Amino acid sequence: MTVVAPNLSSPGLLPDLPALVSLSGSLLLAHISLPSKDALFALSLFPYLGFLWFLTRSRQAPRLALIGFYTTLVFVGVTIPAGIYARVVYQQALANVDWLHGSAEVFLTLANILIVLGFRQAVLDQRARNRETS
Amino acid sequence: MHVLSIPTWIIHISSVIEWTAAIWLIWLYADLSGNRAWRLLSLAMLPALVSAMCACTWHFFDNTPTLEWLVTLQASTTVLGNVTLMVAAWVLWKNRQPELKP
Repeated sequence: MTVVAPNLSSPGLLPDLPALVSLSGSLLLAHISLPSKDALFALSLFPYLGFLWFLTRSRQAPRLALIGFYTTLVFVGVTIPAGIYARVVYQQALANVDWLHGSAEVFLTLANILIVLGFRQAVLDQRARNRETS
Repeated sequence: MHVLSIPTWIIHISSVIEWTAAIWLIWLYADLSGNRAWRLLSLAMLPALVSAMCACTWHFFDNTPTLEWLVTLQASTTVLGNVTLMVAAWVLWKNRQPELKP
């Protein structure tokens, strides 16, 4: 956001009104602006922890899928030091340092593979069970 | 689309395909197990899919700073998606069937 400084050295006696309006508008916007993406990503962790808590307590999820949902936390945990490393060493966002970006994202791919395998097995087992009872 | 190397693209696209497959498998499992709460979980996984699309679109356009709003949208749908996941897991826990363990 660009903050326009009021032009107080304008030739008239009155300060530059449009510039003042623009400044106050910018300050107001700064106060009511939406939370930053980093704050949102950090915030998103809490409902995810709640999700894991209820899913574990429900004892309904296939074991491998549950491990997969927990592995997502490993991905989140890896992106934090990887992001700091990208900033400090490359002065870049993580998404712009390909090898770090890919190495971090591979944990999400791994987590999702476990979720798929877990539910695939659950579907196959349930099909077999339904066939037995019918 | 050259900021991401081919292997990094493959990693991204596989994650999205896997998440979609998981949604589909959980939908099937809801029918097979007779536990309708699973259907809710599969629907609750959709906002995260939108989030992933935002990220991939931003990467496709080489992480252009003018498209940073896509990252904010990604972060917002991540918050929303994790809340919907939590609600679905809460329903699963509420309606838990004691001995049914796959």
